[in-house]
Amino acid sequence: MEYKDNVRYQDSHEWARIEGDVAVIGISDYAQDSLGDVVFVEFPDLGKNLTKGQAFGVVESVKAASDVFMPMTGEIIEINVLLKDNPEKINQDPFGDGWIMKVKISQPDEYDTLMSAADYQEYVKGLD
Amino acid sequence: MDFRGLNESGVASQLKTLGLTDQRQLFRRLPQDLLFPSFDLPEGTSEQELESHFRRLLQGMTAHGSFPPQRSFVGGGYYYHYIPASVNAIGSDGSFSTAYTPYQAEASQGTLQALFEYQTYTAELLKMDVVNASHYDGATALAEAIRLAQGVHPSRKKVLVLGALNPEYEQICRTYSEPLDVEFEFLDDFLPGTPTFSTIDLALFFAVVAVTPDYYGRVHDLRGISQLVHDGGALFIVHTDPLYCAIFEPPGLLGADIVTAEGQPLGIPVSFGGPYLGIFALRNSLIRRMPGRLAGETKDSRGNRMFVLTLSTREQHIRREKAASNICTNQGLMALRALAYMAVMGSPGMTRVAQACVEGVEYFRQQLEKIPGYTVPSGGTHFRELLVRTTKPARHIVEALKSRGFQGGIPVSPQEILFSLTEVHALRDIDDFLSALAEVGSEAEPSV
Amino acid sequence: MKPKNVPQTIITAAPPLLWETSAAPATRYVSSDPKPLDGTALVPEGLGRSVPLAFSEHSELQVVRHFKALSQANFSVDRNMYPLGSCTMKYNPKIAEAIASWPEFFNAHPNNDKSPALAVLGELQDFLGELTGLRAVSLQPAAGAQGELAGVLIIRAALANRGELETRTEILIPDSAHGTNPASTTMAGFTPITIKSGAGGKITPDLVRPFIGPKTAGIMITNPSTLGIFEDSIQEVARMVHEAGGYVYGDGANFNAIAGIIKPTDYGIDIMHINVHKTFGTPHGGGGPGAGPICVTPELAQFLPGPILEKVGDHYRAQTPEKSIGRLKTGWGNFGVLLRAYSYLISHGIDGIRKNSIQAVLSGNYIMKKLEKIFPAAYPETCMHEYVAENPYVAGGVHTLDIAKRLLDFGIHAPTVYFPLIVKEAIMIEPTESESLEDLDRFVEVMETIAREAQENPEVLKNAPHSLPLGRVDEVLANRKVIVKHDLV
Repeated sequence: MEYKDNVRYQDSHEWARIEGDVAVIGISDYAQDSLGDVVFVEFPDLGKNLTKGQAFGVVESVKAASDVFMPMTGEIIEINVLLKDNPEKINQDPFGDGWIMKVKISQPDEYDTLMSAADYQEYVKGLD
Repeated sequence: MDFRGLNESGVASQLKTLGLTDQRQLFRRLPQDLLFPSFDLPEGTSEQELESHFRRLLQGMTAHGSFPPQRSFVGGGYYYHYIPASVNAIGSDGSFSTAYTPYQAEASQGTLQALFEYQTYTAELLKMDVVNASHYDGATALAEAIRLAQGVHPSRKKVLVLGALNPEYEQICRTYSEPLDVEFEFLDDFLPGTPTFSTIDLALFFAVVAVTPDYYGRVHDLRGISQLVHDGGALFIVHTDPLYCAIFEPPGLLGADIVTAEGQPLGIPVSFGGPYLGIFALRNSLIRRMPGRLAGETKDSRGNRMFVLTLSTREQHIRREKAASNICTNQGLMALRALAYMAVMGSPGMTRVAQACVEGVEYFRQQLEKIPGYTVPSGGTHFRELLVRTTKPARHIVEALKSRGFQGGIPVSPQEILFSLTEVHALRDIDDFLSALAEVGSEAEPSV
Repeated sequence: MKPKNVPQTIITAAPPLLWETSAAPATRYVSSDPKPLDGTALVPEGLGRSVPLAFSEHSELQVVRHFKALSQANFSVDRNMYPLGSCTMKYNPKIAEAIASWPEFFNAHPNNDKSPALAVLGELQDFLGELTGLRAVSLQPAAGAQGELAGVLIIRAALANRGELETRTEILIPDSAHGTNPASTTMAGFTPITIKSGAGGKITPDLVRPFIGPKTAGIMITNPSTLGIFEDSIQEVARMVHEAGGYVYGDGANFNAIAGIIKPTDYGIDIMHINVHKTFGTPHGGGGPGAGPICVTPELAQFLPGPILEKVGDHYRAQTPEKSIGRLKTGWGNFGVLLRAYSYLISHGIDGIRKNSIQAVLSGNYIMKKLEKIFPAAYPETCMHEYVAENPYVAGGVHTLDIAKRLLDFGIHAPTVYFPLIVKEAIMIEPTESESLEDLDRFVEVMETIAREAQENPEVLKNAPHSLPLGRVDEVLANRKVIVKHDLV
């Protein structure tokens, strides 16, 4: 199980990585592993403004559909179209090619409220 | 009579294994004061007695308790068609009827492949992208289609219905839509370009439902409608009939986004109104909103083709309160019957039956118009049904027909009767019926 | 060691698809019988089908063989044991099929108010009312799930009638419930509130109390629960919900364990649906058709979906209650299915129904006891007709799915798996009253074999099935590359 430390996590298992005023968002290695083979990703509409904690879409495996939540507030500016035909990228490379979308963030301070890799790892340990 | 698998010694051996002396001990955690109450119910029978019970019930029925199909000119959503013996044989095969929902694909290829074939054949009939593995019936399929469309446009609350909708269907659609505050509007005259239609602001509607053939058997021209509907941003739902689509332009080629239909005409007995077959089809772009089960093609671990239920995350057992619908059980065995019917009939048989549904009604209309006391209010092509105005009270006519051995139509208003004619009615049957109508029309009114 | 009586050939391979079968002239089924018409074109210009209907054409023999081959590629109760918890795959009597094909029923039109079918439905209503103690009954719902929807809509109508629909928006549902409960709740415009089951897998007054309040519209309780356990706090919980002004919905999915033994109305149920294929032996049909009659207290009768039958003299008359939630289904509901249920009830009588329930519970406990060492119950206590086992072999990499697929190799259908959701890797076993002691013991033997394999040779399980025509299904592929039909040309 990988806990990348160039991103930060929230308790519903999404991660965010800051690139200037943009956050790249995906789900953690732990999340993809517990979900199993991802078969479909439901994306939000481009241009939509969503606040931290709001559901932005759904990641589906064969037997589960998991809502995914905004780790940070902002406007959806890009989605990872690669996932439309290759949802398995989320399983293969959750922190790289498996990113889900990019958000133009309006509350950069929210990043500090997210968990570090070490804290998240500790949190996940407590779940099982 | 019961069908338990254990005799007394088997029961004794089970009790011994459990360290119990009495079966009642199994229920010790239930409220003791409520156990084994008295019931005002009969004791069981032998199979022979059961048969006698049913025979007595039939003997007790009054003179007009049952009519053969060729003497029945009544439809209204329940249609008499000829059912090939092979369809009954296939539909009563215990290897299909006593099988479980095909969740274990490796053990259910028969059911799954049949559903996939049903989906393929029905999609070809309707010319739609996706057909589900069946819904309860045509009316609930339409009701769910309306709910689906409302979910696409959550801010819109109106649905417009074009053509006469079966009143039972309307009631069911209203029951399903009530929690969503849906408002129904109806329009009977809607040929493109007519003033009534062009004054309606379609941007207020989440969907337009066109019904063809409609409740009165009228065939509607839907060319150009989808364009208007889509310009208004609404979804275009067509409620149709599967046999109709064998000879008339199918809704998929008329721009429909969702198509629903009652599949009963495809080899399913009238059976006092059910079980029937809800046909539910839509465009690919809506597939993840589809209610109900879907069979899909895939491979096994060795690379062989096989079939499996797919896109299950739409369904209640996974998505629970966020599911596309609460539907669980569908009408698997009825879909199988419909497939068997389409398979034995083939394109020529389907086409022949559909033509008979137009010819029969047209012949009946032409002859009936010669008989005093009856007029046909609507012109144009009719499919399987015809609304007839009567000078005498409709109920009296229907009752008088019964005493002549005919089940003769639905009195839909004090002076209107809806008749239904299909391939089960030979020329001779129709002529006999016309004679009866003439007699009934000329005799003095009963003093009821 | 292989258990006894493993059939040589369990099922056979499915045939080619219908349209991959060679063409032959279709048999003629309907007469040509042309009608002498005055010249009009039957299909007006521009309205006809613009592309030919591309069904393949076959002889009747080809079609019959096709379906025979399909049927032999299926497990079914007629051939195989289905220890399938919650779904109750009991024997479906043949006499019910025979009677349903009598022309007086087969060809009955629902508009015929003299049909003997009305007496069948009327008597069935009365029978179900007496059996549940909930005397007002509508046979309209086409399936259990539609019965649930009817029930929740009745709660909605009753609250609207009291002027409390705006404030009472929540329906409480234990986490062990079927998915249809929350789905029906949402469809009817309520918010489902999940109640976590307690340590024993049951709901208790303490667990429910914090969620009860002025927003409570009702509670939906499956009893026995999906864990196969009787909810022994049911009376107290029902009393609390009633006092708070809510209604108690009983999900009748497991009525087959208690029919003839206790009346749901006596422990506080106001509304209940019945899955007739579970309790009254109507065939499952490979996934329907079903029927889901809804039974309510006299107070709620005014909201039932219509038409309802009322006995007037010696015959039945239809009427729809004044404040009915409306129609849910055309005609009278799924008559053909209800007729089979009626035939089951008449032939069993109250004594047969009671014996069935007792035997179902006895066999459920027997299997639980026999498997206690190798598939222990998640919540060990006297179960009802079914029990939910844990999978002790997960640590060794053997998942419940592997056990399920391995069972198929022995000609036994898999139990319900991964449900209820509150037991990880759940295996839900319900033998039903129909299975003989020999078949029950054979199932135990097979489970012992599988438990042994799970420890000694887990690969056998992970790659199962081995003795069926096809290997394990690739569900991921089916969901990633969705193919739901072929194009016929």
